[in-house]
Amino acid sequence: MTPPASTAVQPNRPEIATDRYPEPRPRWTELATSAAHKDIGRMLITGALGFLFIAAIELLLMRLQLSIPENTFLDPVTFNRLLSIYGSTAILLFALPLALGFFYYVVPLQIGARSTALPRLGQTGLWLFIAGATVLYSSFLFTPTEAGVNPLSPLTEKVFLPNNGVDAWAASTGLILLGFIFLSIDLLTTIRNNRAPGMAWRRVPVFSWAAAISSWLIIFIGPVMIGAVTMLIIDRHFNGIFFAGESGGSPLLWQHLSWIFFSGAYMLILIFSFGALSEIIPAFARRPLCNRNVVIGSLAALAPLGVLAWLQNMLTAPISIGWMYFGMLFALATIIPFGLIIFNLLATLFGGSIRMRAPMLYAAGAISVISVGLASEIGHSMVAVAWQLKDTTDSTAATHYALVGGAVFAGFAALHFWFPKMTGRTMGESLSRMSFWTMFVGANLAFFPLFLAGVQGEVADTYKFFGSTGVTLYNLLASIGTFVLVVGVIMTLINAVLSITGGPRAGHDPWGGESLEWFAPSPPPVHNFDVLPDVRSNQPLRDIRDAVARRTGETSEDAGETQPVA
Amino acid sequence: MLCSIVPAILLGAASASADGVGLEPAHSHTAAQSSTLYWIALVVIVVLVAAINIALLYAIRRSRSSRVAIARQAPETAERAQASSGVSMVILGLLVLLVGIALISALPAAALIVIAVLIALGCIAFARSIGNRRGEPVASPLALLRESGVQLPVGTALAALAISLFVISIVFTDRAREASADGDSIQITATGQQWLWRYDYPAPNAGVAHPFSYYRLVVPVDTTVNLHIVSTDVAHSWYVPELAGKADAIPGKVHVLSFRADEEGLYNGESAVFSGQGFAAMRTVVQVVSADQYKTYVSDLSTELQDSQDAVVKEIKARSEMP
Repeated sequence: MTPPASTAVQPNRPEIATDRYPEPRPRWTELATSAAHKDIGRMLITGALGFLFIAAIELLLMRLQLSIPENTFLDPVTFNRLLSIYGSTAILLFALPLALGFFYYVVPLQIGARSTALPRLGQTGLWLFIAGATVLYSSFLFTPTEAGVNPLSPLTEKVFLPNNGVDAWAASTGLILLGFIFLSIDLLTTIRNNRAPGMAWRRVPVFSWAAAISSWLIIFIGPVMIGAVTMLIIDRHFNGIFFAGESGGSPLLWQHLSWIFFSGAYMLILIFSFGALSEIIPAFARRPLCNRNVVIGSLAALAPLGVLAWLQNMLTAPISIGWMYFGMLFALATIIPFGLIIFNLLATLFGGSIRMRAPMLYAAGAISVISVGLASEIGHSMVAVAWQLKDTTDSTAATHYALVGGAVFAGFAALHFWFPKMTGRTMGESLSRMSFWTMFVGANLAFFPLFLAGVQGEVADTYKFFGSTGVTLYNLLASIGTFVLVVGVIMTLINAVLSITGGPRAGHDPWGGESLEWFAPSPPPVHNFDVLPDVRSNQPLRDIRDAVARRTGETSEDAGETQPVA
Repeated sequence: MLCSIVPAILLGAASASADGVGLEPAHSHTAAQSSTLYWIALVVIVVLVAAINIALLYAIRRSRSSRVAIARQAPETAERAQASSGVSMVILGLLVLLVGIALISALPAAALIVIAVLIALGCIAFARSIGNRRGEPVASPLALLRESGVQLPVGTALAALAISLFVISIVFTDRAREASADGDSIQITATGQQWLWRYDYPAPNAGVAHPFSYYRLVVPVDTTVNLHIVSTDVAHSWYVPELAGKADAIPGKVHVLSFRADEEGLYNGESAVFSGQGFAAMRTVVQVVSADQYKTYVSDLSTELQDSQDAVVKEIKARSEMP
């Protein structure tokens, strides 16, 4: 008897007819030519973590320079180069590829797909990212850009910075974003078309929802920034006057375009981190996520609200007061979705029975750190306060709290959570814990004093400060904190490297997860699943465990919970 | 103790000295309004951060002390409850947006109405699609609100917070902008250049040189100063925290910043937008003096300039007359 057509799983047909195994090729050749989503995702994550290390070193060098007043450790040009490259590295080479890498690895598994829909497009995206990173860092062979984190026009015009550093920055930003757009198109198509039978949109896991929302976001904001850097290159090399103020162009145009992108990127990092936390916290609280649809709706609301709040970054620019209120409205409106997400994550924890394993520890730390960043962003949204605090170290601190919480703490939570799936081994628990506490103390010590220095009027991005302004102690504390933070980050990176071969073995489902990626073996085979399960609810793995329990006559409470070895 | 560090630091810092967490002391009406608004924001921020972190800590401690049974829900019930609370979220979003938009009628209204209508249509479509896909008739809005449980109060509280912060900010920002219209006012041009501030004062009387100074701005006390901030090269930002907020100097634009200093003294300032190598040294100082001293200062400056210009002219003449 055949099952009904709608739920039938196609029998496996042999797709390759061959009489011998293909010649084994060297591993790097396999990786470099692979279009499999797991290889691409792993390469993105590895690359992102590598750039996290580099960004951490750059930040540490800058903080060393700023540890005592009027330090001469770095000259202004070197400091500005480090600052500019650090900005690009932290956002474009670490945080965004980390998010995309996890999306790319996990989402096809979560929705029960055997591969992505457009694998070659994703592969092109990865290699464009690698090309962009190479262009940015090869500028160290000549003169790297020294135009700042968001290089505001007209400082980037050829008159003021004639060397090719800005060109390298613009070209690399364009290449990287084009790569991200390709990856996003692939992800979106995959989520749209390749879901397992029964995986209706309302059963798609929150992390995959976050992936879909982020992909839309990149498809909207990526072209804006690509357009902006193209105009910049035209300005610099073909006598364009898009951003040249004296000849009729508008420097403010650059601010609008770039802030639309950066606001979107900020939101994307937070959407990724809350998406990951919405998977991790229910797994470790052993309780379904409270009000799943409110969380998904809030994640979806963050994307448009965040982009529409771009004027929040321009509250000191010569724009009319009405538009400042417009930016403030949308910036303050993000309180609602952020608040609902955090509330529901906490509510999930409240009724739960929490296992404090490393991913959960990082997840709790992430909520704590992000909450400081998001709350202090409220101050920066209020126009009259922003007139005082914008571009001071207070805004540096707010941004770092939100993004270090989002990309580093939540990113590490995701790393610890999905590491067993990627490698078949769990990350070492004791080193994780040591690393977490080091990072948590370090991050608070590094960024909290900057709030206090900011309200005293210390301006951000300066290569030195003066002892007479009363911020000496704050800067010293921040430098010490940064050192501690960097040590903690490096501990986790070392832990990851060591655990690839030396970690305790993990089974299919080390954490008792609810989504389909835990159905596949660890690491998953090339085609992900031998048999695709028929999805009946938004917790397909619980259904499978229950079915197994019914068949074997056990009580379902203990069924399928494979505890990890460590 | 997980996550107790942040609130501890916050509370400790707040209680240690209000001076440490407060803005620089305000010496003008504009800065005073910013400062008041800052205190409101700070209270909100501290309360939010403390609430989130204490709740987080409490949740973790609680579940450790008494092992709660693993929560189990029938999947379909859970799905239904979640779908309906999604709808309530959408209704809330609509409400907030409409109220928020109604509040800021000062904006280019047409643009906002279009945006609001688009968002509203999107929300309605989304809400309907949830009902349709479940293949069930859409329940009455009241039933949906009842099912959504605690989400509604929380969402409403957050919306109320957002709206009240918005209104309060507008009130204080508008107050800060009117740097008191009555009384005297003078217009001074501040020009940002890599990496100096130049100030051009109005000429004290006709026919004399037009006075200017670098680095030090001298203004009279209790007089509204309309500072026209411009730039001749890259973007800068004029920032004297005690007298006014910051205002960007963008080439090709004139940015007017008004303030009225209420006390004589020296106020330090700097440039707040990254402008290249000499950025850190691009500082300025505002000296607030009495009206008489200001007059003397400007006319002395003017005379001095006139004298040196005359000397130069004389020198040129002398050279050109040389055989």
